[in-house]
Parts: sequence; C-alpha cells; structure tokens
Amino acid sequence: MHSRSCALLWLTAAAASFVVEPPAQEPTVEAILGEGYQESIEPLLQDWCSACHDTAGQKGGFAFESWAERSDRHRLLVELASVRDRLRAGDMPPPGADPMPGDERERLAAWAAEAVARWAPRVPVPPGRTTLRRLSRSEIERTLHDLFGIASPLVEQLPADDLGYGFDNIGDAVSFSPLRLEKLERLARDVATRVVHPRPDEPQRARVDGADLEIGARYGRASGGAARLFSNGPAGLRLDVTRGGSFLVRARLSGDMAGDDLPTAELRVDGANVARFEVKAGSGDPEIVEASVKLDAGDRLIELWFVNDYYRPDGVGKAKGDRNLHVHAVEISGPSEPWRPPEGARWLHDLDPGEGVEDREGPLVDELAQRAWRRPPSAAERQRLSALAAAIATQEGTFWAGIQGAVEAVLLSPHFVFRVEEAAGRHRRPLSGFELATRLSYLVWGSMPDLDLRAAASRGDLGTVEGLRGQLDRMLEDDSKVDGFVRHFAGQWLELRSLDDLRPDPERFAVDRALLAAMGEESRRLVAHVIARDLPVRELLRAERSFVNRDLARHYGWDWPGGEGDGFVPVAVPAARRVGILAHGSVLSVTSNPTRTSPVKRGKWILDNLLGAGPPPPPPGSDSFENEQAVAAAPATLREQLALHRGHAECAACHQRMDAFGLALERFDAVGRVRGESVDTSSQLPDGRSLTGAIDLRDVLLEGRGFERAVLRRLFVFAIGREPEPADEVSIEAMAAALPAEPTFSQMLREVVALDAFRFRGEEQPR
Amino acid sequence: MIQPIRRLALDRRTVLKGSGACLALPLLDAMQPGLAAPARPVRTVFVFAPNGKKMDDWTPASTGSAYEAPFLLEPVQRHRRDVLVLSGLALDGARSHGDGPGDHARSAASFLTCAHPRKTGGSDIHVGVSVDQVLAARDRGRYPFASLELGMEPGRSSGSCDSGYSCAYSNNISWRAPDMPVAKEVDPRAVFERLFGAIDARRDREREARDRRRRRSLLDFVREDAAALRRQLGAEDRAKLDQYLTSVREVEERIARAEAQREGDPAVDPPEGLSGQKVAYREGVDLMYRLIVLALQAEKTRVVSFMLGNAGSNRSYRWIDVPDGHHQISHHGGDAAKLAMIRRINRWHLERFAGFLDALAEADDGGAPLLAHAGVVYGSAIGDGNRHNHHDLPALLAGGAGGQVSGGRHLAFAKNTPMANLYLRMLGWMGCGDERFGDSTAALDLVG
Repeated sequence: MHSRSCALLWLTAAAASFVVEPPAQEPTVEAILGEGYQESIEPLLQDWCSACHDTAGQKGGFAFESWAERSDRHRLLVELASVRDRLRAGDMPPPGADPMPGDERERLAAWAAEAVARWAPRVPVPPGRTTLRRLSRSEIERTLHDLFGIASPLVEQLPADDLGYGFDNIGDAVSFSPLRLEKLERLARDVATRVVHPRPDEPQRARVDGADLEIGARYGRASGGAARLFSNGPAGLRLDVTRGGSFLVRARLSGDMAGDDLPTAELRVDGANVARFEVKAGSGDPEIVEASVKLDAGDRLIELWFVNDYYRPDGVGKAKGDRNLHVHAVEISGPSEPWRPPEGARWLHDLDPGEGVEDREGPLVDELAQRAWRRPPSAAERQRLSALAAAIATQEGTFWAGIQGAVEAVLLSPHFVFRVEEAAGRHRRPLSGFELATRLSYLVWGSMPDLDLRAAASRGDLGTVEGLRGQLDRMLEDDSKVDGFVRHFAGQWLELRSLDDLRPDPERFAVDRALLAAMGEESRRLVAHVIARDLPVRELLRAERSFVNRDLARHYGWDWPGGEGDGFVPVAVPAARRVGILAHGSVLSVTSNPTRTSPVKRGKWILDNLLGAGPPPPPPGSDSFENEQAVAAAPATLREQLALHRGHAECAACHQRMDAFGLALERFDAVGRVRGESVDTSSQLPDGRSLTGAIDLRDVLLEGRGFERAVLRRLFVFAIGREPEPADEVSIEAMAAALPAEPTFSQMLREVVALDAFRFRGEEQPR
Repeated sequence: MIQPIRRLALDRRTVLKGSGACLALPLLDAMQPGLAAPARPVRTVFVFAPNGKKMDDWTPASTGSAYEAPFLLEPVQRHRRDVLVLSGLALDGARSHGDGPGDHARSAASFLTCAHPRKTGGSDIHVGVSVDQVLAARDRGRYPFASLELGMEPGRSSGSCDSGYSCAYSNNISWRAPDMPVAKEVDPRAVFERLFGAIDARRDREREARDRRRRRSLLDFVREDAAALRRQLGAEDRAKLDQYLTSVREVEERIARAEAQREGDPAVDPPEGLSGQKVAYREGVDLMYRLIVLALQAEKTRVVSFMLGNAGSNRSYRWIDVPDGHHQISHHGGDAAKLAMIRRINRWHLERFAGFLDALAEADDGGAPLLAHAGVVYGSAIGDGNRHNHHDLPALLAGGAGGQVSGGRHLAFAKNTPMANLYLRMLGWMGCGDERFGDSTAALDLVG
C-alpha cells in the first residue's frame, strides 16, 4: 500500500539523519540480525518459510532470503516484528502447511522478539510529516467550550468528519468543501451572538398597531386600526429578539360581549400560552393589559389568541349574540436585565479599555487571536483584525458589533479551523512552542491549550522532553479536561461513538437511546477510572469493577446497589464478567447486527482494536466476494457458515482467529446481556489451543505485549495524525520496549510525546 | 412563477479556474450577459442505492418496448414512457484489481467517477472526478449552486468503514477532484434553508443586505489569511488549504450573485413535514426527493446527487418488516427469508423513486413537465449484494432530457459495457465531455 511513498521517504530520511544526527552507534543490518544468524536462524527460515517467502514468491511482501543484503533497517525491523507476532499467534506457517515443531517456532520467535526489542530503540527514525489537520466536530465543540464557555447546537450541523485509520482528526482523510464553509459561517455567527452583544445596554422596544398584526384570514381582519378576531384564532407579530430576558408585553384590547363569559385572550410566545386576559372593555373604550414574559434571543412569534368565540345569531335573550375580540395595539419592551456575557466569555469584555481610548479594539482582538489561534498574532494580523472590527463597527453603528465581527472572523479563519504548522524546508525542524502546545492539548484534552500551557510555550519550556512531560503530567491531573481524551480517543478507539448509530431491533431487545448512552458512559467511566488512578491499561480487559446506573444494572440483571439514586455507581463485576470492556454492553452492541450477534464483527473488532492486526494483505489472485458464488448454498447455523468461511484458504488466514475470538463471546447477546439458554462458546485458535469463553479469550489477549503495542499504535495515529510508516512502527516497538511490564496510559503518553514524530516536523518533499 | 436566473458576467480567470470538460458553448454564453436564455436547461439527478438489488426481480426477461416489468420495476411503470431500463452496465473501477476486499467502499467511490479508488485508509485518497462535478464545473457562477450533494446517512461515528478504505470512499459519490470528495447534506431542513432561507424567519431585505455585506468582509478577511498562510505551508498542506480557498471563493461568488439579483427570490413554502425536529429515514427520503424537485424547479441548481444510504449501509427497515440490517441480509447466501427482505427494501426504494418521478411530472417547467427536461439516473454500483459483483448493474434512466431521450424500453447492452458510456452520453446532451469520461469506450446508444 505504501511501498512507493516509503522508498521516497527512506531516501529523504537517510539524507536528513545524516545532516542532523551523524550516525554514531547506529546498528547495521548485520548487527540487527545478530552473530548467530547464519548458523542458527537462516536454516530455520529456509526450512519453514522460504517456500512462499522467497525472492520470487514474496507472499505478503516478505522475502527472507534477502535480509542480509537489506539497507532499510526500518523495514527489516518491521518484518522481524511481524515474524514474532505471526509465529506466536500460530497463523504462520499457514493452515495446510507442515506444522512447525514448537521448540523451533519459539526459538525463531524469541530471536525475532529479542532483535526488535534490542535494536528498535537504537535505530534513528525520521520524524515524518503530518498533513494539515482540521479541527474535528468534537474538537470544535470542546474548543468553543474552553474559549467562551458556551455550546452551540450548530456544531452538530457541520458535515460529518470522514474517518481515516479509525479517527476523525487525520488531515489526509478529511476534506473541506463549500458546504462546510457555509456551516462554519453560521456556527461562527451563532457563537459571536452568544458571546458579544452589539448593544449590551439598550433595551428593545416594539410597538405594532392592531391593523398591522398578522391575522389569519379565517379568523378575522383588520379594520379601523384594530385586528378584529371573529372566531378563535391569533393576531400576532414576529420579533427578532436580539437579547433574551424579561420583557413587558402590553396590549390594548376590547371585546364584543355575548353569552355568559367575557371575551378572553391568551398571550402565546412561539405557541406556548404565557398569560390570559378577560376583557371587560367594549370596543369603544379599549383597556390596557400587560404581562411580563421571558423571551429568548432569536426570532420569536408573539400572538394574542381569541380563545372563547361565541356565536348564536338565532339564540334567545341573553344567549343570542356574537362575542369577538379586538386587538388595538401591542407593545413589547425589554429586557429589563442588562445583557451579560456568558461566564466563560467575560475575559473578552474585561479587556475593553473603554470608550474614547485609541485603538479600543486592539487589546480585545489581540487576546482573541491568541486564544483562538493558539499563538500570538503577528503585528500585521492584529492590525487587520482591528481594522476589520473598526470597519464593521462603523457599518453597523456600535463598537461591540465590530468585536462580534472579529469573533466571527477569528473562528472562520484557517488559523482556527486548521492546526497550522509551518513547513520545515529542506531540513527537519523542531516544532515551535505554540505548535507543540497545540499538539499536546488536542492529544490530552481534545481542546485548545489553557493559559498555563500557553505560558510554558512562550517561555520555551516545551522545547525539551522534560518540559513536555512536565506539562503532560499536569494536564492529566485535570479530570474534567481529560474527559476530552476519553471521549475523543477512547470513544473512537473502542468505537463507543457508534452507539449513536445503533438501532437494535425493538421486537427483540428492550434497549432505548438512554440505555445505549448509559452503555457508552460505563465504558468511558472505566477508561477515566484507569487514567485517574494511573492503573495499567490492561486493566481495561480485566477490571473487577465497573460503573452502572439503575437502567444498566437492570439490563445486566444485577441488583441495584445505588439505593435511592439513579446516577452511575461503581460496582464489583461478577467473576464470569471480569473481562473488562469485553463484557460491556457498549462493545458487545456495536459489534452486533440489529437482530443478532455477529461473531465475525466481534472478532474483527478485537483484531483491529485490541491487537492492531488490521486487515491482512489481500490473498493473491482472489477477487474478493466474486468467489462467493461457490458458497451460495447456505448451511443452517451460524457456526456452520463460519466453518465454511474458514474452509476457504484465502478466508482462513484471517477468519480462523477472528471467528475464534468472536465465538468465545457468544455467551453475550446482541445487546450485552448474558443469554439464558445454554450456548456453545468454545472455539479453537489457529495454534490449536481452545477457548471455552470470555475468560480464556481475555487471557490470550493479555499474553505478551500485543495489546500494549496495539494501544500504542492507536495513540500514535491519534497523536500524530497519520498512519504509521515502517519507520514509525519502529518507534512503536521502541516505545513498547522502553515501557514497564504493565504500562499505564500516562506512561504511554510520556513515550508518545517524546517521539521525534511528535516534536519535529520532517523536511518537505522536494518538488 | 420562477424568475429567470440573472446571469453574472464572468471574467476569463473564473472561466479558466472552472475548467473541466465543459469549456464549450455554455460558458461563452455566460460571458455575454443579456444573451437570450436557450430552451429550458436539462436537469440531471444521480441516485445511489446501497447494497445492490435482487436482480431476478429487476431485470426484464425481454428487451425493447414490449418488455414486461418485473416486481421491482412495477412502481415506475406509471412513468413507463419516461423510463429506460438499462441492463449490462458495469463499473470496472469498483472491482478489486488485486486490492482485495472493500467492494462497498469501491462501489460508492466509482459510482459516478467510473474510476478505481486507491486503496488507502486516508493517506493518499484518490479516485476521479465524478460526472455530476464535471457538469457542476460548467455551472459554477451561473447557478446559485453549481451542484447539490444530498444523502440520508452522515457516515459512521467510529471504527473503520470497509476493509482498509478511508470512510471518504463509502460516504461520498461526488468528487470535485480526485482527492476531494464533496460533503453531502443529510438534514432535509438544512437543505431547504440552504436553498431558500430560514424557515419561520421574517423576511427583512435590509437585514439580508447587511448580513451579506458582513459576510463579504469576513470572507474577504479569511481569504487573505489563507493566501498568506499558503506561502508558509508544505506541498501537502497547501493542497488541503486550497480546498478551503476554493470553498471561500465559491461562497463569495454565491453572495455576489445574490446581490446582483436585487429583486430576490420569490418565497417558496417548505414541504410538509419539514418543521419537525429530527426526520426519520422513512419520511426523510420522500422529503429529500421533494426538495430536489423544488431546487430544480427554482433553478437553484441543475445537478444533484443523492445517496439513499452510504455504501454498505446496515440500516433496518422495520416499517416494511425488515428488522435486520440491510448489509447483513444482502449477504443472503440464497436464504429465502433474507431474499424476501431484500426484495421488500428494493421495492420500497423504487416506490419512493416513483413518487419522485410523479413530482417531477407534476412540476411545471416553462409549460412542460419538469420530467421532460430531466435526466435522472437511479442505480447501484453492486449487482447482487451476495456476490459483490460490479457488472449487470441495476440502472434506470428517467426523463426526457429535453427531447434527447425517449423511454419506454428495456435496453440490454453487451456484458461489461462501462457505466461511463451512459455518463458520456449525458455529458453530450450538455455539450461537454465529448471525448471520454472515466473508462468510457463510446457514448451509450440509447436509440437502440
């Protein structure tokens, strides 16, 4: 897939490492293969591997014969890592080939493992380049919260971010289109109107004559300066409320009396009844009624409804008559409260030096740009922003209208929308303090840097690994902000976000949106707990506790330990379910079909997310499903169907492990409940071992360091914003080798931020 | 009832930027304001249905005008005279060509591009320019929207879309450049408001003018920002920023047009059912079709693409007794119950499509039904969902295309005839793309 770009990268990388870091004790290929290679390893490869992986065959892109003549050490190490993993997983040599004796298998695997662990940390890795990253919808949401303390419903209206490598923050995979720009314009406008008011002190006043009110033709008409309602219906007006609050609505009303009751009017705001008036005045002498109402900012519909029409032209005595309502005028004024910015946007208003000061906009736009663009603006940028604010202020008549415009401009600017990093030129360059602060804050918080981080950036503290790690440690302490990491990273890594897309069949499963949301919350709480207590990441697969609310406890069939409350509480998990997220409703549901479980989807989820095995290279000569005609006659059970899949050589390589994993979770139904009926949860791994259920599965997943490497790889993609190149895979191996036996998230993140890929920007591709 | 669109004079630079295969007559025509408008323009719509069809209920047994409509084609028979059933078409670009699994992602990516998408999870997305975007390039600056991209599903929220293919391939059928998919709008209410202005908002020309002025200054500002930033970026980053710059220019043009059109649009009432909060799929499809008719009739655009679902959509259709996921059961393995469900989904989609044709036939377009001036393609990029084959695709062409097509027939083409041949024919109607499109071999012969 990336062989072409890799060759190129390698050439440029070699040049760069020569310039920047003269090769000191870099291992040669010979050193990596080790002293005994030719005597003890090569013969094993000859015997067991080279039938397929020779220079001519190169199945899966591997050719062991040429190892000794390699120059690309990154690729070599990646292949060694693969040998280690495939041998230990038991899926090489492939099904059908002669079985490899256990001791020889382990000798070869151990040799490869050792070589990787020893040498990966010592091979220099070029930093590579990450394509310009656009803030994702969820990053914008959190950033607006941190910038102004507000939430805008228009964030959700932005077009969905196309995922790449499982994440929404991959610059290469997402695009920009006119539709997105239009949505951003509306969002910026909405934000600006929430945080700045063009006339913060002035109340609004509107007076409309009855004849100018909107009257439904069926209910009445305008005459003699009044709206005359002859049957039940409204006379109303629309008001663009620039500032929400308490308004006084006054109306001049009169009525034609008939029947027992007085003509009655209801005051309605956007259709909701807020006051009721009985009208005693005859039409010659209207009375004034008034009511205080709450009006939110925006376009509001304010109506007076005639609600008790009475019409008996042929009645007798008092019963005869026609009751009508006349609306002579409506006046609205308010709000009575002065406008106040949201708490989180106070800083902007506090910077106002006051009327009459020269360059009054200056301090505001400067700080605005600093925060929103995550760096100090240049003098020219500051000047342009001031000029823009001044121009809009002149056009629209108030200083604050100009500031509102500046807020919009800053949010619409590419400096906000994208995480800008300047090009490196012909040599790699260290990222600037502000660029690093941005990388760090979107990694750990999913949002913009705070003041501390900005200060550290401008002091130059982030230029060292220690400085970066110091900030990282501080940032991880803030649980409410680390929630950004949990939602953005774990939400995507574990596919918890897909709960929003699920619609389990209501005929089979009593699962509503609230319950699906609770499932997601359970998993997020476990991740947050593991981070907050700095527990090993593998705790996610063996935790003895979880977090449920009343609904979720009932769903799982557990006693509710929370007493009167119904919020989330920690619970001890029954022994059979001590497989962490593997037994969470969230994971079990997102890997199911609407009506039933899908062992294949569950197995694939495990391969993708917990083992980082990803889709294998396509089997040569296979033209995907066109071959499936051969499988057209469907066998009865799911198990039989799966068995058939595995019978196909080209499917087996992947499906053997995938299906074994998935079948081991069959104890749980499509929404994560333990099934009542007895279920066959046994399955067999490619290496011949059998799994009897979830606990066995967990133990297999936690063997070795495959799980940790998978997490590191996902962290790499999320933090750096690209798929790992072979050189990056070497970094991932190096990180795994440097970490203690059961690393925590904080330890992993400390490794990630120390990578050159995180701290540097690689040289640009020559034209 | 609709005002003729006032044309903007275009400068030559704009013309060259628009480019594409359509540099022929229409643009010259646009450069001369006041030139009499030709006959009613041909409006094109491309409808993508995910997961293939139950083909034995789709393909008529005989060809020509006497064909008997199988079950799935029954709903469109009331427009039989305006519908061509096209058999034998193929999308070679959707095939694996050694790239292994990923037929769903490839199917959507190739549906309108007729190109083979590069297999990548994101790093170097590349497929081709889609036929609707070739047409759109011609209309840029001439219509309020050069094209509309609509869909029903936003794209999955996490995970991977299809076997190592970036979700960009599964979620989009419109590609403005080989590396630039055009995001689609999935909320009917937002579509209406984008076309015709906010629902429920009081019309205030003064405020509209003020808003436009403000938007212009803001866009002007950010365009300068982006232009300055461009110089500091590396090549790949610049390509991404250019998408932003292109978008800014396009929106600026649209505002300029709105300004030139001083009398403003006539008010258009939103279709029923739009005022509600979230629209369910079941009603949403009809709403989108109705919005397409409104947009075409008002000449807001003349090019629309519409995805009934993203590639590999696993939606269930409970109201027609399909509790299972569409993709899941499309791998029916010959199972009768699953096939029956597939049939119901297919039929339901065709009934909605027939409703769309009803609306096109009822809409007046300069004294004739809008359907007479439309060219509507409905199809899937997979034949049988179980086999994932990309030949013998289900495809319909509806509408008279301004007298250039006459329907009422089933045309069977040689196996593996490129779908691109159909698009090439359609481009020909518009006086563009007369040589090649995608993997076309020759313009499809619709006379038969």
